[in-house]
Amino acid sequence: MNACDQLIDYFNRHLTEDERVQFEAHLATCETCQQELEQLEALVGGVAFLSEPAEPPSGMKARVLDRVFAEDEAPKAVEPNAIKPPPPTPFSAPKERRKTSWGAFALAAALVLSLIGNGYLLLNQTEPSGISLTETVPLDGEADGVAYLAEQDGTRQLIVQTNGLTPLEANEVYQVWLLKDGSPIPTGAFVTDDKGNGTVIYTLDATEADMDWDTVAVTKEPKRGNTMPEGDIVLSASL
Amino acid sequence: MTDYELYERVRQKDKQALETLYDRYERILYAFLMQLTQDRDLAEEAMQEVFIKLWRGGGIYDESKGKFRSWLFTMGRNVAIDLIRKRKPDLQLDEAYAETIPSNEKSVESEVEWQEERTQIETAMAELPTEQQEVVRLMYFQGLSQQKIADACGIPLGTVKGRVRLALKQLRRRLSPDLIDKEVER
Repeated sequence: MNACDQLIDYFNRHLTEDERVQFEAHLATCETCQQELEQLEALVGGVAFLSEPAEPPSGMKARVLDRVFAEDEAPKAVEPNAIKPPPPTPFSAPKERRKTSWGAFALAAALVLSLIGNGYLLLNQTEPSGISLTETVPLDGEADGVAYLAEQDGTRQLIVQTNGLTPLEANEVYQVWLLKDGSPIPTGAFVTDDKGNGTVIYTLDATEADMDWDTVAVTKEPKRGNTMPEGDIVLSASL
Repeated sequence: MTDYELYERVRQKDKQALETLYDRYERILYAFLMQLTQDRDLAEEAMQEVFIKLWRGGGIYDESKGKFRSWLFTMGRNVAIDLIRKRKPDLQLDEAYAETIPSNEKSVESEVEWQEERTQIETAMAELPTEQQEVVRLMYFQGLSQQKIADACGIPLGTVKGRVRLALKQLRRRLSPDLIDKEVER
């Protein structure tokens, strides 16, 4: 089974978090999968109309919009707009991990290899297919890792891959950061498989893409969603 | 105002624009979420989450990638699937769905909104061979894994993707580009 064969399970959200991260790494570099996903999603705009009509509960509009706008009045935690939270992780990790299927780890490893293969191809192709790697940076630290800066349709992506990181405890995650003059922003978190393999892709927003980042780092955080690092740096490199 | 114009205003924190989008899509999105969850509370919760995401700017809509509506419904579908699996881990989408096999009855008379779209997709679906209709429903409404689609259709795992691809192609051919593709000039 190659990476492209996971598209349907990705679309229907059957992948574990690890698998999802791996697949998204593949997706970022596979034009066929991108097109097929686009078509699958486009048709949602059609098939939704096959739904049985259902009367919205009375008062739903007020409840929904009140909650939405109440968000603004609540005191803000830390986040100024420039800092994006890490990508949503819809599945509760421990539960999902138990569901990891037989071949998931082998598969994940294979996908990493396939991604590296793709990266290699991308680096060597003269006619980029929408995505191009702008920088490949080996990471230094307690394990192997590579950071790629890629550009696709005018957006910049940061891709980090690792191998041989130490296993995580229950709620811990590996968190990627971009730093400028010592101040970090979180750029995606990941968990590793039994070989310490992990991948994360982060799309920089317009403001972030314009910044002149000087460092990329990976820390081990006690929990997901930290906006400032608590844990030690396990991998890093200058950009 | 087009969906995209409204979306752009929502990005600028225009409450009125969000309310207009809400009004525009409340009924159809709620019906879709009900179809997926078969549970009024979950459907409303999903509705809530979709509009919070929209307001917070979670996920970026790219006009060049397709219709706003498809993006919005996809987001709703993802939220609904996640809610179901979190709240009712024992319940498969397909079980919920099996209780209410969609009837072919005509929509109730009050349901005039989106009538053109409804008619168009119903007609297009009806023209597909049964096995293609089946795969479309297994994919979109039951959200089955590739393996379960294979089991349900009695076909090898490796051929699922091909059948899905074929069904989508047939469906696309029968739908006007306005229904599913990029926004048209108006």
